[in-house]
Amino acid sequence: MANTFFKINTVTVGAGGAATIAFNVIPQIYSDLKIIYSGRNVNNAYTFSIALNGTTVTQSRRFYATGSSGASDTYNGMYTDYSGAVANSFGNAEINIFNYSASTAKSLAVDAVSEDNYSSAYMNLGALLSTTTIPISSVSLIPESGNFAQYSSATLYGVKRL
Amino acid sequence: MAYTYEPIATQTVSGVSSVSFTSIPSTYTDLKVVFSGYNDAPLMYINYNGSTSGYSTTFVGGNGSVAASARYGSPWLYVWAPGAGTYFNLSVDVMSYANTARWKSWICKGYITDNSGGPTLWVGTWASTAAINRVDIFTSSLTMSGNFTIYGIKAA
Repeated sequence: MANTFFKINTVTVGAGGAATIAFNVIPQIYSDLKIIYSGRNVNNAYTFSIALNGTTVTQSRRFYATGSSGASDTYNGMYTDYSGAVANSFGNAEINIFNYSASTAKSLAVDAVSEDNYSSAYMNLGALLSTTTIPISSVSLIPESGNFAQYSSATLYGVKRL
Repeated sequence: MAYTYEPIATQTVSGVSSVSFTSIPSTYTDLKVVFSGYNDAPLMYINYNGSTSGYSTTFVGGNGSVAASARYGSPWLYVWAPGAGTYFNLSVDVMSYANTARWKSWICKGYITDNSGGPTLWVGTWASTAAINRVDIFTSSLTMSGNFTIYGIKAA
């Protein structure tokens, strides 16, 4: 049986936090990329954005919901936990970047949730599009403001098709 | 270490209205179909084993300004048209596809960022206990281009 997922790297934020979670060495030998994120912002900021090759992806459509309502907008931040969230809770996200090494636009699929043990916790489906035609060699996650908290982490996987 | 997630087949297409995966083995627990590319037509839909009946779908999503939900008696994967040439992606998880004791159900997540499109989450049911050995994905015109990959997922 063929393997499909290959772990490329894991980044875990240390004491003092970090302004980005970055994967700066991405080999061009896979079909797609997948990032599994678990993190929290130290500031009162509910989201993080995604940068490809150093440029933040801004073309976005989100469907998002709380425990009581749903809505849609074009904001490019994906939900995670913030400083006001209950202690020790971390948001989670799965980020898929398709055809990352192709010379075509790159579409991203992001499922993100914050966890707060309250009805104000958010989830979102995020559709992002980067029009760059340059293969992706670096991916960064950037808090809406401030730093990612200690113990925030993300793992980058390469995904192979046949 | 056992691998649990295996690519069964990949198709790269340009300007087609359908893609078929046939002779799907029954050796996995679940199936996953992933599409990345573009399709200018306003919908894509799925059929199993060549059947055109017995489908029900419900979706929730947003187009960048309005959130919506609806139920259909058709096997839609999305119904909001992306802009011409807009790259997007879909994933369809088909659970227990070979289990002959239950109807088949799936989850489709689509991520479109342009025109009237947006992210949508669909759930669907096919009222059949037949093991799925064929998956067809259609659109309404010769407009699908990109990569389709079907994966087999083993629970153990």
